[in-house]
Amino acid sequence: MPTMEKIKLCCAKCGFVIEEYTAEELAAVPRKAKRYQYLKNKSSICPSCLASGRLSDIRVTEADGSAVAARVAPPASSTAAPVAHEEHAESPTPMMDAISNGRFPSHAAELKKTKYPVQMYEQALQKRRTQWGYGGYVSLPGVASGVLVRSSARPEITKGSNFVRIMDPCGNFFSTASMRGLCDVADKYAYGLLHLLSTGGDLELLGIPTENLKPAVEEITNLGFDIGSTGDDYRTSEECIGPAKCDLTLYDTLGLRAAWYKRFLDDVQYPRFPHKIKCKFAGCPNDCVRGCQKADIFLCGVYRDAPKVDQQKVAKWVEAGGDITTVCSRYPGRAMQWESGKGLRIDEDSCMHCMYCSNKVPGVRPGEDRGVAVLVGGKLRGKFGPMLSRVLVPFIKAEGPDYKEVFDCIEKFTEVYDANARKKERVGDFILRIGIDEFYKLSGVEPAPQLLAQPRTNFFCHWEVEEVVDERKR
Amino acid sequence: MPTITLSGEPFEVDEDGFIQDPARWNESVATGLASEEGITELTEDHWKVIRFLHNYYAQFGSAPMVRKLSKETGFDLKTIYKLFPTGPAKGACKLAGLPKPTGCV
Amino acid sequence: MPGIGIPSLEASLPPIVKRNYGKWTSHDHIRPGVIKHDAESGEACYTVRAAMPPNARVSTLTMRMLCGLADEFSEGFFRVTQRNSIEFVGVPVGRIEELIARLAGHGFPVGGTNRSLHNMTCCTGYMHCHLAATDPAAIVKALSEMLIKEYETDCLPAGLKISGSGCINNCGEGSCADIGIVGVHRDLPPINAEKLKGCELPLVISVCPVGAIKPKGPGMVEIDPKKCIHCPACSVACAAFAPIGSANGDGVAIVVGGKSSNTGDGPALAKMVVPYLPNNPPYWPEVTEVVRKIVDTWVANAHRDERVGEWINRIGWEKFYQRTGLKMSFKVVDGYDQRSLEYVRSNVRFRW
Repeated sequence: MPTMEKIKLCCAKCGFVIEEYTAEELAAVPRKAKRYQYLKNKSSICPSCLASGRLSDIRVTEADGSAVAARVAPPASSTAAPVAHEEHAESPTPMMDAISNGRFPSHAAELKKTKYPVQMYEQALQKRRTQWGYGGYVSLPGVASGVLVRSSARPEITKGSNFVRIMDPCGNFFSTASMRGLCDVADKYAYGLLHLLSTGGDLELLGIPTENLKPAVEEITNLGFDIGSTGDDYRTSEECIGPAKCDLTLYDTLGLRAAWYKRFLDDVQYPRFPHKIKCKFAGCPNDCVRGCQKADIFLCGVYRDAPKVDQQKVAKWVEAGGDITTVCSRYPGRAMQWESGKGLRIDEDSCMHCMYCSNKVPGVRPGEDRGVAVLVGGKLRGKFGPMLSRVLVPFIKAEGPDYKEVFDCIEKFTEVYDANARKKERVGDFILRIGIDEFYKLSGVEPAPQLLAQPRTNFFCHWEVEEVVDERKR
Repeated sequence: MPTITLSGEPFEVDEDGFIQDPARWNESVATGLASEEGITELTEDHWKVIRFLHNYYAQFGSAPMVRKLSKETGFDLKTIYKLFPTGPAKGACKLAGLPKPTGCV
Repeated sequence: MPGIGIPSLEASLPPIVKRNYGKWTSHDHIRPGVIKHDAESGEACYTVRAAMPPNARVSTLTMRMLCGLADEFSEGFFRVTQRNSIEFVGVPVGRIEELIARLAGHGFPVGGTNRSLHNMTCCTGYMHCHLAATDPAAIVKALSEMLIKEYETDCLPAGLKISGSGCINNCGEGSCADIGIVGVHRDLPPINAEKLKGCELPLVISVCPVGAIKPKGPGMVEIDPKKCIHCPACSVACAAFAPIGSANGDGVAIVVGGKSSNTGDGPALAKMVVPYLPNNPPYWPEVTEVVRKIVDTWVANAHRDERVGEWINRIGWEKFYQRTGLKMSFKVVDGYDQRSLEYVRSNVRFRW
């Protein structure tokens, strides 16, 4: 009977199990036996102990400002063969080693500096399959959302991994003091690894054992951060940098997001909707926050009047070599013309208020009649696949500090979705299923030609009996 | 899969404690699992929610949406969280023998 | 415990931002990775933008080092951009070169603004996700190394954004980018009858986009192999359909032309041009080769400020395929979407 007893290779410093083999494996696979012997003879230490030993090196480098020697970039041409295992036979992580160097920072190098179970990632690269098992949300009394788990398909490497989703501050600005506090939480309770910004706009701490979840959450909230944004709730909203740094923003995106959290925090932390709702706030039609492509509810700053042109400034810029020819030729609808001596002319009929002129030409600014457009239904997954969001309301005022008008609109729309959508049906799928005309009627918005990409080509209009007034009955 | 014993009967449960065979649910499941969901005592309000969930699942094969649950029981979401500290999906559904709610991102 | 909300603006914004909040007048691209904003007060704010590891995964060691730099150069504040770069806001103009050198010394190149390759975003992939069909982080690392020159210099017709997703759930936003890498499965999901007992069958049946899942007797379902599009929807709805994918079935699709801005031709989702390339860790040479071809062809052909999608709109898909040397297949013609006939043209305005 083959014995199932495992031969363990433990960290010489802290006892952490780096690798495990059965006696049969070592006998049958010479490469594994060779590696085991090599690591054992070297008294290998685990990545965590290895990294803490390197701390002093990093401090010395910082102190004297000397650059680390240039690292060798990996071959990236099509003729490059994948790394032969024999080249890195002695390392327990040959694949990760292969992608740890180069001019760009490496996630594999970062993983190796933490307590993350690196074999999970290494084996995934070797086997070309993820080694993680099923994922889900974790229940913790008093915490309705914000904690998730991934189970492991390789329990001999790691049992599974909880992670906490922390909602980012406005503008994703951090003070170093608060970030160090989060690093302390990550070191104390988790792998010592940060997912600095997920595409959902959150900071995630990976690797918190279940018994540490409550104290970790408490420490995070003591630092002034809150958790949430998992499940069928409002997800963390994301906004562009807006008035914090941008001269083009048409409204206070950060202020609006802060006010949004004040009003809707419960709906971010207590899931109750048919499916998740992602809200994004862009300061202008440049949409640096990708709201049109991804947001269930997207507020995009817009302006209605003509762009403002400071002719002197424009002329000065052109004189200094500004490429007005390219700008005019790229202008959608050929609405912009430049003539030396006559200045810059923008055709009102053609102007789409798209921001291109303000982006490129100093001296051109957006107009003053500013508000937001509300678009809904953007998403990337789900029943009907990726969809751009569609205009619900072309213009609504966005005025702080409460932003009451625009938030009332969002709330009304959300209730329509909550009352009528099916389970796990995203907003975009819901709109497609019930028909956009029906959707507009339910939402109670006013018809406006600004909503149209183009009117319909078929004639399949439904009329209610009451809409048809029988002339004879008058 | 691990097995737990509730009122003398064995139940197969998953790693989160959800029973795997909803058809075998009885009220001992709720009383047996209540403490692990942070509930010290099951009141009539608790049972109202649990019975509604169980009957809905028996009829439709899926868990009701939160809006429906609130409407039929008369409890708003915050009240449901007070009754079931781990929430309607993880807490109440578990006690009512419904499947574990899914979703990962 | 939860319920406190996000940190206040007062606590998180650096002094230079608070002084000039909402009072910026113009911006200037000094060099890739360095932007200057001028305020009404006359103050100038310099931002230095550096790349972060793929998926914004940093160890606390590295983060503490970056905090040290932020303390030294930007008054103890920094920010993370929507494309996962780190930004030091309010760097004194005389110390910009020093900061760039220090960042380079730690292995963080500075760039990714204006008409350069912007920092690549990607999702978690093999690091932590059970649905991943590929590892976008490793692919993004390989692509970043290949395109380092494009990251550090203003040498492109317009900004270039590349994103990677591990599967078609697209958490990595591949479909939003000029060039997107999206992991795809090609196998049928398994059905674990034991686990099916613990699932909501009506939900499982309803989430399938093509209705391939049908009831088959009490408590059981079957998947129509002729309909399945190998998306992870059923796998997300029920553990009985996991694990999904296989080493040889899984791979990568390439999409092009995504754009969020309203300038030019307006917002667009990316379109699939290559339905499948194999997973070939650790460098994915097949993928990097295709991306190189697309980038080089775009750089050689596009007008100034013409994003990838807009360039293709102008020259047409015929010339795109011709000049990049990619092969068109019927897999990129949509038979699923109800509006799918619109994907094939009715006019005969061909280009040869």
